[in-house]
Amino acid sequence: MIHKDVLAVVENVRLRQMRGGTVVTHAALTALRSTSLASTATSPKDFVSYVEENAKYLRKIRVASIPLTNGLRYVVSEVQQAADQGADIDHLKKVVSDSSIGFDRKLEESIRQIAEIGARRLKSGDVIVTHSYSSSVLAILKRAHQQGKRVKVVVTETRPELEGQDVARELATEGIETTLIIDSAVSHFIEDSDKVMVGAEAVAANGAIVNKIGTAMIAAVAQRARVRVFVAASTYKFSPETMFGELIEIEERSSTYVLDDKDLEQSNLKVRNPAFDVTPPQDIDLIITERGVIPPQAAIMIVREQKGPLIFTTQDPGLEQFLGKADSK
Amino acid sequence: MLPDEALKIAEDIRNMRIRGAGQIARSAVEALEITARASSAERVNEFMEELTNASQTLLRTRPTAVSLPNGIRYVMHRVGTNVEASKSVDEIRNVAITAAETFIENARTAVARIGEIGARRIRDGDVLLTHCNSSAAISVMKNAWASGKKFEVFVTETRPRFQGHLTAAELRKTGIPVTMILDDAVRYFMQEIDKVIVGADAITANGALVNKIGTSMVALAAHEAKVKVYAAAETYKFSPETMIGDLVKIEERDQNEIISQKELDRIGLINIRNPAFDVTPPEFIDLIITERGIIPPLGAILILQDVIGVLTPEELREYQTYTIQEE
Repeated sequence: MIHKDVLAVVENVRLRQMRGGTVVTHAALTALRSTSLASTATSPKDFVSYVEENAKYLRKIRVASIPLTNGLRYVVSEVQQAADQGADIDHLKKVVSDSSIGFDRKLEESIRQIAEIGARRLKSGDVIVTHSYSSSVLAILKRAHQQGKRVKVVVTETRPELEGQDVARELATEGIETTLIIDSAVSHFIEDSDKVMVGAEAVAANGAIVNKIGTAMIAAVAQRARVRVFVAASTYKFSPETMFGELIEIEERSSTYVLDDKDLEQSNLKVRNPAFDVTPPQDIDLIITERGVIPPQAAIMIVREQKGPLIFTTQDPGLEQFLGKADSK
Repeated sequence: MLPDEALKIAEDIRNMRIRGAGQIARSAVEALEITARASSAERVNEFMEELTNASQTLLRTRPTAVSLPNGIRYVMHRVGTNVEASKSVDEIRNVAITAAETFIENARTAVARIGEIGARRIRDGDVLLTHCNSSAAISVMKNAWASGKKFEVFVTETRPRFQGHLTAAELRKTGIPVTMILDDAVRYFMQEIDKVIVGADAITANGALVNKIGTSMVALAAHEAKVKVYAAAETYKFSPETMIGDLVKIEERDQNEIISQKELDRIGLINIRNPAFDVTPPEFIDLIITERGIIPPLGAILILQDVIGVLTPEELREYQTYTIQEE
């Protein structure tokens, strides 16, 4: 049974088009917590499957968002372990509450650490190109600015939802010199830029990142112009599933975000609107995590350390066992 | 002094009643032809002075159009070679008239001819991608479709002014299947694309392409995926100024094309930059389709020499460096 709080948050996220994986993860974990506390399950076994069911449903908010997947995975894994050890329902509810709050805090803390580490890579006078809305990138830029580094930021408007305008507003409020451009103009300005800095919705085992549509082109342009590409991503965004060949699903969003023209629609025109794209590791110089800066090729090290069962994959029991082995090394 | 009819044309070009690269060039050359026909000069140097003055006046009418100096140059180059051969005024007048008529006829048929030539490069089952709204690129696609080839076209919406919508509507009218995507989604879909075909606002001496902002990213994504990139360009789009090292300057357009004043006020103090074009380097371009045939981008210099003439730095000094602008 899917609880009403869960249904509400899924709808809410869909309608409000929340920015960034961190914000979405926080909303989902809060919903899972209130849902579990309201559970009327009579046996620990029923309670665990109720939590699992609602967690799987919450994941639909954004299937490409790995912090969301990892956060839900962590809570489910903790509650499963506690149930295996014979905990009663009241204790299991406490486990859900503690683990969801714990994950949320770790995610927040990771952004603070990323800001510290990332700001060290910036120096006064740097011109930084950014695309879409990333809590981590904003935290880094603000931190560098607080340290007295005069960084200039070129922000893409980020079609179709134009969240670049929100980024520009936050930076301008902070007093950071900001220039807004259209996404297509990155190539024109790249020669005058020093760094590209973007967030990530997910990091795959091979170091590829999934991020807002357009990121892959910007990274390619930067690579060619010998401009460094930094990705700010906490380790909670690394996807263990990709180690076993799972592809990160990329959702296509409504065509009306792209085109709102009755005449053209009547002409039987197709619209495709993928929300994210994949930037290959060779176009990325560094990934800034809360545990330090790594080259994208080292993503596998982080992925191997991810805890928890693969509750969201096509259920091949062999995979979970394999991950268990990888974990114990 | 220009004849009234020629002055009227100059005026119409200046105040933008005459628009579009091809039309501007044809009209300017027509004004030059009218001047040549109307001249009552008896001596060659008098006749040449009148033509040169007319050229100067016409060149000043629209310093942003690459096609205009090319049209003038096309005629004056041929006239100049004949003056050296010490011919009579009437002989030189005829050279001017013939050159002007040839240029006008060529310019008039260029887009259709590019369509015929370019269509041969398109195969049944191809998936094409185009950016912005180019009459030459559309001519290629329409010609291929008319010859019975079945293919489909991905069209980028083309921020900030959404000219992709115009392209999509034109192609749909012909019956060509169209998929509209964001400019940002080009690399995402590149694996599905066989050929990229775009127009040109200008081609430089080294074969670089000046075209709508975003073109260079599209070309880079294609090049990286080993997808062919074709630029459809009439020869009057080739820029002689770049032969002496001048860079094509790029217009920056109004910020309110990107964001409304209301939104801008809400955001606070930021800069907006809105360049209208970018430069795609020749190594990302496989072919340039001109009305005189298909050339590799490094063959651009041949077009400049054949059509526009070999230019000395002295001759080029008479040309103004221009900022390329949307017509």
